[in-house]
Amino acid sequence: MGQWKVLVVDDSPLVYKAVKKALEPEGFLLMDQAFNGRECLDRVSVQLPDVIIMDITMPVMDGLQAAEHLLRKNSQMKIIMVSAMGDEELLKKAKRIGVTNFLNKPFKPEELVNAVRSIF
Amino acid sequence: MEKDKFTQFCSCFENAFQKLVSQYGLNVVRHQELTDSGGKRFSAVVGVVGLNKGRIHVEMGGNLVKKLFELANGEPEEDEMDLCFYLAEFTNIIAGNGITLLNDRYRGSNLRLTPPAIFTGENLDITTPKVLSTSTFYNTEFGSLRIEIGFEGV
Repeated sequence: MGQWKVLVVDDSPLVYKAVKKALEPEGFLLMDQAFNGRECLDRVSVQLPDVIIMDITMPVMDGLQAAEHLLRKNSQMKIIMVSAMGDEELLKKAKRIGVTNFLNKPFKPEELVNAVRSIF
Repeated sequence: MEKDKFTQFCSCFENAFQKLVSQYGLNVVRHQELTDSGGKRFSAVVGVVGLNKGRIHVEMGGNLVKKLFELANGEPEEDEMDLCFYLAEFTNIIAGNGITLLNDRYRGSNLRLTPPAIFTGENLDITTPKVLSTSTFYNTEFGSLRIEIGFEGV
């Protein structure tokens, strides 16, 4: 198997930079950033990532809606939700949808690496 | 919204703010007003929707947002857009961590955030009608900042 492909879905370019800085030295390949849930769905229909790192609060389509769409089509899709919100209700919803992992912002680079590594 | 609940709300956002800046090792001290309100300022506004509607507004000077960016990213910004995106993320984290505490305390509130809006310029004055708000000012060695929390019906 080649490098694992990671798709970052977040409306902030800084989050993409931080994820890239943390994961590229670990051997992961970062796909071009998607800036909202809709862009994520379009991107995934063209090229399938091995893991998606997805924010929740985004314009156009939020992360939970996008995750629900993706997991309905492919329940094996690996999605790590990354959000500053992390209340019990939200975590329950993410779990119900089938999200693989949940990481609270702000996170340390090693926490992200561990969350991604735990999938494979 | 009852005054007591609003006070609890403010306290949750304050806790989220203190937790975030303590991770940067930045010393912040409460103050009566902004001590460096002149020059170019950076502002971010994040809306809160759900059972209670409101918004969180964070404002600071260029020097402080540059320093925070460097502490968070381990390197200086490339351009001013980096600072804007950073302040958006900073505000989003305070608001997000704050509403997490609130949602767990007040079940059924279902508070969620709207994507942030950023403003930069001199003599910025942002007003939201129908919302009563309270401002808290902080001083750091790199400049001062203001956090304004406003909710409908207080």
